[in-house]
Amino acid sequence: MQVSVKLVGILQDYYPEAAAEAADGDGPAQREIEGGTTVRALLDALGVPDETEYFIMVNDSLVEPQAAPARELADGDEVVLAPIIKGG
Amino acid sequence: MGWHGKLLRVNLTAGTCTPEPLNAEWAQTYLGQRGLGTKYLATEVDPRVDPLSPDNKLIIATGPLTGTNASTGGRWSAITKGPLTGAIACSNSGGQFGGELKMAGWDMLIFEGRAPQPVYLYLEDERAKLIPAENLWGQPVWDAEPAIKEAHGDPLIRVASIGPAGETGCLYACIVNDLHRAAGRSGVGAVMGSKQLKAIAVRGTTGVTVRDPQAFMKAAKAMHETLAVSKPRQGLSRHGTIAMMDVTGSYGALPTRNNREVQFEGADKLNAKALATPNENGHVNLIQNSACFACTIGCGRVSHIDPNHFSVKDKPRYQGASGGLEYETAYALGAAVGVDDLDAATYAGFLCNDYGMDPISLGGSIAAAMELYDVGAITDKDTGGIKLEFGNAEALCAVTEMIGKGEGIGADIALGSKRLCEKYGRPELAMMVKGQEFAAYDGRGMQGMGLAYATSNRGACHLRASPYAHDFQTLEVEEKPAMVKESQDFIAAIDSTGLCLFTKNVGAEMSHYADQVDAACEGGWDVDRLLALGERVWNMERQFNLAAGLSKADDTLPKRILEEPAPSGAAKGLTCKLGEMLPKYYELRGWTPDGAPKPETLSRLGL
Repeated sequence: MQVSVKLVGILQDYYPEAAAEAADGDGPAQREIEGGTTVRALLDALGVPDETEYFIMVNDSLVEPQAAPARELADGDEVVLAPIIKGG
Repeated sequence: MGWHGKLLRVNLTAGTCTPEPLNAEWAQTYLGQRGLGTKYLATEVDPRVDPLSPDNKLIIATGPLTGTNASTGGRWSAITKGPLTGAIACSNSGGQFGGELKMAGWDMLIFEGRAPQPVYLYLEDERAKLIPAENLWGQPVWDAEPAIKEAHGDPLIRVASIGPAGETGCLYACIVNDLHRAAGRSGVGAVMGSKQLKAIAVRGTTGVTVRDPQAFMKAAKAMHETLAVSKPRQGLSRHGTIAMMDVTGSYGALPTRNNREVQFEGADKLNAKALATPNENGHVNLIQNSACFACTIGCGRVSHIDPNHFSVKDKPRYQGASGGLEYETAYALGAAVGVDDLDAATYAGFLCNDYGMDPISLGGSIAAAMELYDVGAITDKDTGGIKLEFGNAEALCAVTEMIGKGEGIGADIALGSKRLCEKYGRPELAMMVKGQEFAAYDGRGMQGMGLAYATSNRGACHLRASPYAHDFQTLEVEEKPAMVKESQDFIAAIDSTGLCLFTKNVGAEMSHYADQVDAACEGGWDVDRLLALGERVWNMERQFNLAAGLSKADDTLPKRILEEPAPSGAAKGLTCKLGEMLPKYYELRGWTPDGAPKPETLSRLGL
C-alpha cells in the first residue's frame, strides 16, 4: 500500500536524508509500505529519530508522540512531519 | 556590579534631568528591566491614570546583564500604562540602544509629565540634556534617527524614537530603535508621543562592571556554548522566526482572515523558503541575517523588496535593505489579511518601522476592518473607495500608509480592532484580549496559547507564556494551566535580566541565567530565587491591572475562539476550552475564583 510522506520546514536541516527521501520536488514523496506498518516504524525506516523535535500529522490530524508506535497506517494516508519551534 | 545603581528622572513638564540612586532593595527583589521597571511604575503611578495624560510615566529599563557580553545581553523594556489596553504595558526590544544606554552608565530612565514643546533626550555618558525637537516632530523614524546623529556629528549614537503614528495617537504606536527594532506592543509609542518626547539618543563609552569577572566569563561561556551547538538556534540564525510559518500552517494554528480559518493557502509564499528563493524577476527578498547587541543567535532578517513591485515603484526610500519579515509580521500582513504577497508584506513591515507601528496590532486591526467591510459594516464611502477586501495587497499597503499618518479610514483603524469594531457596530469581530490583538497563533489550534492570551497581563500576547512544545504535541488541556503558569513565571524572570527570551527557546536552562546573574550581581542568585522573582512580578502586574479596573471578565477570548470550531487542522471541530482551564489556572496561581491574588499568596511573595 502507498502513503505520502513529507518533512516540513527546518526538519529538512535536522534530518536531511530523511527529508530528501520524503520529497518529490516540492511535494511529498509516495512511499510503498506493508500493511500494518505503524507511524513510528515508518519514521524509523526513514531514519527519523524518536525525539521531540517534531510533531506528526496524519491526514491533517495530530498523532501524539506516545501514540505513534501503535498507530497503523492505511492506504492513501498523508503523513506530515513538522518541526516543533518555540515561538516569539 | 551588573547594575550601575543609577537612574535618570526626566521631568518633561519642568524640563529637568535628575540622576537618582537605583533603589537597591528593590533591585534585590525585582532584579531589573521588566521586574524593576514595573515596581517603579506600580509604586509611582495611580493605576487608574489616563495612559495618555501627563500623569502616566514612561520607564525605559535595562537589566543587570544588559551591556555585558552575555549572549543577547542587550535587551531593554519600555514600561508604562498601555493606551491600547488600559493595563500594564511592558514592551521588550533588542537592537543596540539598550546596550548603549547601559554603557553610558544608566540602569533606567523615568519620564514624567509632558514637555510643553517637542523635545528629545540626549545622553552622553553621565551628561543628560533635553533638546528642542520641533524640527524633528512629524518626521518618520528613518529621517529623525539620522538627523539626530548628524546634529551631534556622531554616527555611533543609538536612538529610540517615535514616528508619526506615535505623534498622531495611533493606539498601537511603538518605539523604534536602530531603525528597525522596536518596543512593539500596547501603544508605548503613543505614550511617548503624548509626552511630546520625540526620541532618546544615547552615546555610552564607560561600560558595565560585574561582581566576579572570572565567574561571569565562565557562566557566559557556558551559555554561549549551549547556544552554539543548538539545532533550533541554527534554525533561527539561518531561517529567522519566519520558520514558524510552516509549523502553524501544517498544524492548523495559523490565524487566517481575522481568525475565520486556521490554515492559509498562501503560506508557501510567505515562509522561510519564499524569503530565500528568487521570484519570477530573479529577485531574492532575503539578503542576510542580523543580530542585536551581544547576540550569538542572529535571528534578524535583512531584506529588500523587488524594485518592480507596485508598493515601491517610484519610492526609492523603500527600495533599500532594511529589517525584513519576522513570523509575526508575515502573519499579520499576510495570513491575517489573506494577502500572499511577500513584497507587499515586507513593504507594510517597512512602513511599520518608519512610522512606528506595531505590525501585529496593525495586521489584526486591518483584518478586523476587512471583515467589517466584508459584512457591509464598513463601506466604500468610509474607505474613500479603497476595496478593503481580504486578499487585496494594494488595499493593505494603501491603508497601512493611512494608518501611519492617521488619515481617512486609517484614523479609525489606528485605534485598534476593539474600538474599530465597536464604532462600526460589530464588537464581536475584534480578535483581541483586553484590547490587544492576537499574535500569530490561534487559540483553538493551540489550546495552551488560548489560555495564555486570556491571562496575559498585557493583553493577548505570545511572549508572556511558552506553550509551544506542549501545544504542538497535545490538544488535551489537563496539564495546560500548570504549563502556562510555570512558563509565565520563568519568562517574567528572564525578562528582568536583560537577556533575550529566545535563549530559552533554543536550549538555555534557568541555571544559565542564575549563574550569570549571580556572577554579575551582589546578593546571591540561584534558580529558585529567579523563579520566585518571576512569580512575584506576575502577581505585581496582576495587582496593577485589578487596581486599574480590569477583572476576571477580561480574562476571556472572542466568541469566535470560544464558540466557532476550527475549520481544519489538528483542532478541526474544536473551540478553545478556556472555561475548563481558567479555574484551574486561578487555583494554581493562588488566586480566588474571581482571579484576585489571595492575601496568603501576596504575603508569600512579599507583595
